[in-house]
Amino acid sequence: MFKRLETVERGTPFTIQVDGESATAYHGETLATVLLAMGKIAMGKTFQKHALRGYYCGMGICHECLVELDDGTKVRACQTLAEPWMKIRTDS
Amino acid sequence: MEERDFVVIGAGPAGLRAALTAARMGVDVIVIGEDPHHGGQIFRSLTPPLQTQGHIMELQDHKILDDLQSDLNEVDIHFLNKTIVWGIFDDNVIAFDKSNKSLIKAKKILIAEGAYEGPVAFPGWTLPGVMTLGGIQILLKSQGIIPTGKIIIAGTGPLLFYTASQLIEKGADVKAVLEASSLNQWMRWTMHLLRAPGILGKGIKYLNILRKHHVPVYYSTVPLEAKGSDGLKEVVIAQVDKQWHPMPGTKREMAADLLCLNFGFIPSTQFSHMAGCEHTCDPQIRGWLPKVNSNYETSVEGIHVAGDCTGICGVKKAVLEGELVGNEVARYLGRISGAEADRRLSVLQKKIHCLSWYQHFLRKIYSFRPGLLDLLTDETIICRCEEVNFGMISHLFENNSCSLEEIKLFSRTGMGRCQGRFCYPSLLGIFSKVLSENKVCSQDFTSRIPAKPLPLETLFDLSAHDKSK
Repeated sequence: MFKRLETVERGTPFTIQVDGESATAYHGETLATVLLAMGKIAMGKTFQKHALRGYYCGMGICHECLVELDDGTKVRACQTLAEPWMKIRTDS
Repeated sequence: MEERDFVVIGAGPAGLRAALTAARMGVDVIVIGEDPHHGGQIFRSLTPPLQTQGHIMELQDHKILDDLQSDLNEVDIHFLNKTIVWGIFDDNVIAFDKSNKSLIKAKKILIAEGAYEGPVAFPGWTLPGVMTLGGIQILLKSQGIIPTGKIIIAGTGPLLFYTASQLIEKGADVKAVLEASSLNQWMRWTMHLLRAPGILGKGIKYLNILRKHHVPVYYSTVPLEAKGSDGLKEVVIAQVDKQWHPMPGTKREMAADLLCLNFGFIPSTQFSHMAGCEHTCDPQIRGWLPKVNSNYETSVEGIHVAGDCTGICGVKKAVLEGELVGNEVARYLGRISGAEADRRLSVLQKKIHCLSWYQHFLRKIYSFRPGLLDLLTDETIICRCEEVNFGMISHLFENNSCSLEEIKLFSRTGMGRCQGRFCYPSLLGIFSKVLSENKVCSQDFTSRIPAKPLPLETLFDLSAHDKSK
């Protein structure tokens, strides 16, 4: 779905857990980037109708890309930088 | 509570220039911005530690950014990055989400919160894979990733061609650019640009890139529907007339993995509304504009506005407006003589006046055409957050002749996480059509705290902080 440009230096990769799967991430990347690069375009579901939603405005105002961290908090994938300890879910 | 001379909300071009201007004259300035970097959405660059040789791509108006950056190295300004302002209260008190000090009272406030992309609702626009053009730009500029699937770019205005050519040059597969306005219309607009050969030249360059890569531009064409189950698969497109009403018999389908949209921009007025500033409705842009005097001060004493949140004006005008406000703040605080402030003010006003044609030009291009309302079906989502569809809203409009505020109360439209930013413009478009083209809406949604969703801990921290005082 998305690929990382080779002209960008990304340092050492690390992994985060996405829906129980390992995903490659680099420091400086947002969760949205990690998800899009692994082919996940849907990032969560709506409260009422459980419709799939994904990255939309990219600047932190639409809140459509909310993903769930393992402590239950929801964060905007487009505004949150990936960290090695992260376990996220996109199916809630 | 901490008291400061001058608080700037927004670290984009207008906010930065205002802060720099005031700080150079000895004003104590604090700038609050949500992003980790300075420069706003327009000057997004790779998020450190991501890096590349030079710029990831040619930035428009990069000279403005270079000037801002070199000035920032010389002047001492207090920045609060990655900080969300969530409220403005009486007596110029600002609340934000930093636990150790979360309230500031300011003698002067500049609201420079910019703008965001105007939503156009149509069946399927909530599907994953349908996103704003700004959204794809951010992925490219700040994250260095590009789509690998089939892309359709749709909407109106120069940003379509700019972004399409950027994506193409990075190797992305752009299948088509759909421009809602006609080619004739563009020819007429292009005449306005004869006074800005630089902009015109860039436009020609982007079109040449599209031509070289055989990417078709379909004028008078809009997306009617986005289709797919777990993500976008197909876009139904159709030709439109001058007012963008779809024409019968022109429908066809195109396979696509991404649909990137831009139908113009809406000035962000969340904070100026919250602060109680007077606004006027501009149905053409489906938004509101704060009323200002010649110093860009609003109807609330001590609160100024500058940049795109005063009307979409482009980066050149934004920095001049910022400079003007910085100058006025320095005058108010007695850091500059009245005569010197007057001299600077008059120079800046002249420069701003010289650029006002560009603001009118953008307003014309991005004016909302009622034909887009024909895309709505009863099931089409208007409010993405609360999942309110057009059927419910038109029922309320027609049967109860509701005001916008009543629509909000009855249907929850605008009460969700985006706080009405992505449904209000659609609602305003529907509202103007239902009433009559000329009737101007007199009331906006009430803008309430928090301006953005906030963890409850932030509020608990705040109360602990206040008790300790």
